[in-house]
Amino acid sequence: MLKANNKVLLTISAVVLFFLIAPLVMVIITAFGTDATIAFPIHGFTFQWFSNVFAQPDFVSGFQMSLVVALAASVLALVVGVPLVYALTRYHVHHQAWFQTLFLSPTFIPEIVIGFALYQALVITVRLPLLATLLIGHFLLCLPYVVRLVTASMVLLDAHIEEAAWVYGSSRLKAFVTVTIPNIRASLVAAFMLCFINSFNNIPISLFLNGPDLSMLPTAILNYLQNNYDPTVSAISVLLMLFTAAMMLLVEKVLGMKALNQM
Amino acid sequence: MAELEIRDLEMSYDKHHQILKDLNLQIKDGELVSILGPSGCGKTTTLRIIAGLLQQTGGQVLVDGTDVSKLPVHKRQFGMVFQSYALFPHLTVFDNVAFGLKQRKVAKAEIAKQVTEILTITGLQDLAKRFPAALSGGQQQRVSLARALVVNPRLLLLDEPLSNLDAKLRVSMREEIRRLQQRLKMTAMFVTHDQEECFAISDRVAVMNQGKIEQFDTPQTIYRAPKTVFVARFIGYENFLPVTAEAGLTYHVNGVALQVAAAVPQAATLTIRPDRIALVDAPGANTVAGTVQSSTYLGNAYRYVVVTKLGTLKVDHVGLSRLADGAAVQLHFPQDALLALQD
Repeated sequence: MLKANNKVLLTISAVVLFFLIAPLVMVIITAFGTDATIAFPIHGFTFQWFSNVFAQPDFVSGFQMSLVVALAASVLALVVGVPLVYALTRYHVHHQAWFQTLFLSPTFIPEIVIGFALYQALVITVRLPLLATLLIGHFLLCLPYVVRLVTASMVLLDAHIEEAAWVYGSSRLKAFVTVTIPNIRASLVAAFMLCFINSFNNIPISLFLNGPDLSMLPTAILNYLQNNYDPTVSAISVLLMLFTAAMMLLVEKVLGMKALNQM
Repeated sequence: MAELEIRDLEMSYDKHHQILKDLNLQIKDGELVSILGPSGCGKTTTLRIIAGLLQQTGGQVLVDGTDVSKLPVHKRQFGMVFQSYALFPHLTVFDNVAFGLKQRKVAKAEIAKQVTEILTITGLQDLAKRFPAALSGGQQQRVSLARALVVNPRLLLLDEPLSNLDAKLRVSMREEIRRLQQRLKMTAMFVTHDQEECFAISDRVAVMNQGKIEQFDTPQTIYRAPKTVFVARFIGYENFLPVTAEAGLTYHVNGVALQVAAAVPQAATLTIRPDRIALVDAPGANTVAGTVQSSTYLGNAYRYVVVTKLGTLKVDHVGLSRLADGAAVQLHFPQDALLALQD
């Protein structure tokens, strides 16, 4: 019985893995092909598409911009989200569930709608700078991850532990920093990573909020792809995969496998 | 070490639910006082107000005559042992115990000395480098106690510290708490719903019911002379007889005259423990006839339910043979075992 189950499980896992990984492997392989368009299998081997990535000013500036926006949005989401979650989980707040849902709501709204709404409301009507609006958009994208992950770990953390810190001489702020944060550290890092990756990869919101001097990497790739169908796109995909893998590795090294599973 | 006085303490979360009403309590220097009561009676609320974790809606908490009501929790310099232990999961046993001293900016060498000393006293010296997750419940509670004792608190607060431990450990732990409290001469307040536990450990006990202290006395006095029906019921009195008429030391219950040792004006109820009712052969003073309705074996005695003119009574009798259901018996109430209560 157990053996049969294992076989079924193994087969399903293999199929899922295949469909997950095979396209990625294909992208990786095509990045090294000598053909002028993306082709599989490849003929010949070259690194030229990788050097072409760095020759595209849109990619370089897009990467820088995406990095800055993703970092800023993630940090902002943590700075706003963590105190918010703390208030919702540690104090008696009226309509608690209502607030909880409110802060998770960006997940329920299609991102393209958020992008359009922000463009219409903030850029056209209020005349807010594009960059600020973009940052707000990405912040909205990130907040639900912080709320969900940090709420889960705050609920699990015995509230008496903080009370003990107060009793033994810590002010509330000090107790939060020296006792609460170290005990929800894994969820903070996981939330940051999810925010960062989602913001970094986001297209729908960025698409509405880009301009002449403001282009994010994913939208730059999309633009490039519309004009050129060459393996440069595969090459940059490989670089992004390496970048994400390096970040995962860093988390795993700092916090262990558990933190990755939380994500 | 200090004296604690609670003056006219009031607490309500909203207009309809008053948790505490005019609570008054005094704890002398070096005394261990328990608050005993069922869950929801307000005992934990009282403790949390004293600690500063809750703000009362009225009344004062005085330590050595100074009102600390406005003093934030982290400046009160108390120690507290929580039911859930509440150890800091990210710190070792040593650092958990050292936490309070570090907050007080005690020198590092002095911290090491004091922590090592208290770990030795509490038998934790070999566990100093462990994290809380690697400790048993009993060990965790011991760390929690060490963390409270090391800061030499003005007041030691214990919130049902034993209820998460198994029965055997509970007894040895309470003896240890008592031993350390006396050795370090700490003023302590202990909150529990366990009567035996609180009698074993306390100098005085405050029995609490629905936000009010019903009786505040030594364990011996509470055991021998409960003042109210609630207190009597809570500490094991199971027979309550409604008084129909009184005259001096004699009370009438359903036409039966019963004599007590100490009269209480306007007494409404007489009470007696099941094990103080004696089975006798012949009718006489303070004796009533009855019929055994059912019996249960308790190990050290038989518990009989006996129907009498006074009502249905519970009687514990130590005897080798069991009385059959329907047997006619004479129940005798020793004068000193029968208590008159006002409500």
